[in-house]
Amino acid sequence: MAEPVRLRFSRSLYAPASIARAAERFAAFGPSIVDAEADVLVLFSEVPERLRDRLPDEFSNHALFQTIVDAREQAPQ
Amino acid sequence: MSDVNGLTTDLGERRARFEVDESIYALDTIQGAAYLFLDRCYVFLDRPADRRVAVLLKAKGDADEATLEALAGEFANELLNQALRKAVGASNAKIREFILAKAFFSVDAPSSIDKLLAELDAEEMEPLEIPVPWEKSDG
Repeated sequence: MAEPVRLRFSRSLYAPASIARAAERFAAFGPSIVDAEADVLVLFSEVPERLRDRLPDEFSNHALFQTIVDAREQAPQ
Repeated sequence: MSDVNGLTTDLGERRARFEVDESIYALDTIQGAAYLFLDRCYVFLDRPADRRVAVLLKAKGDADEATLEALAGEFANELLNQALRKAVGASNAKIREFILAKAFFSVDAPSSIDKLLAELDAEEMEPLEIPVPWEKSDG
């Protein structure tokens, strides 16, 4: 069985709740989230070999997008 | 390694990496710039040290060094643009509030109080039939 794809996001730059929302869109790839002290770790356990390079990049964009959108929604007008 | 608009940029295979000082550009400014690049490239932010944000831009397809340098340069320009927009927005906040308030209260329709007063004026007032001492009697 292939090693899971691991991603690390700094909590000070990415909101854990936003990462979780982004992960919901990637449910097909078996994501699991580990909320560590300074970082949020995301593991994908079901990644086809041909997508192993691309998935981290795609997910990072989704996580950043969701973090920014959520921050803007919560910001006072 | 190259210097793009004052940002020391590491160029690698399909990627450009540079660090931004958060005491110069606030995080929402960095995020605002990053947001505009999400459709053009992969963007990853990291925290190499306190008050420093590492920005990694990765091309979605093949990209030579000049293309990556240009991408990093455009990001640096966008940082400045976002910071300026934020500063102008903050300094104009009171003016915006004033214009909005003026527009809201100067609508050319009569206010609800004016309408009530007009209705009162239009009604035929029934006399209360209470004698008042200062009325002159006919006799």
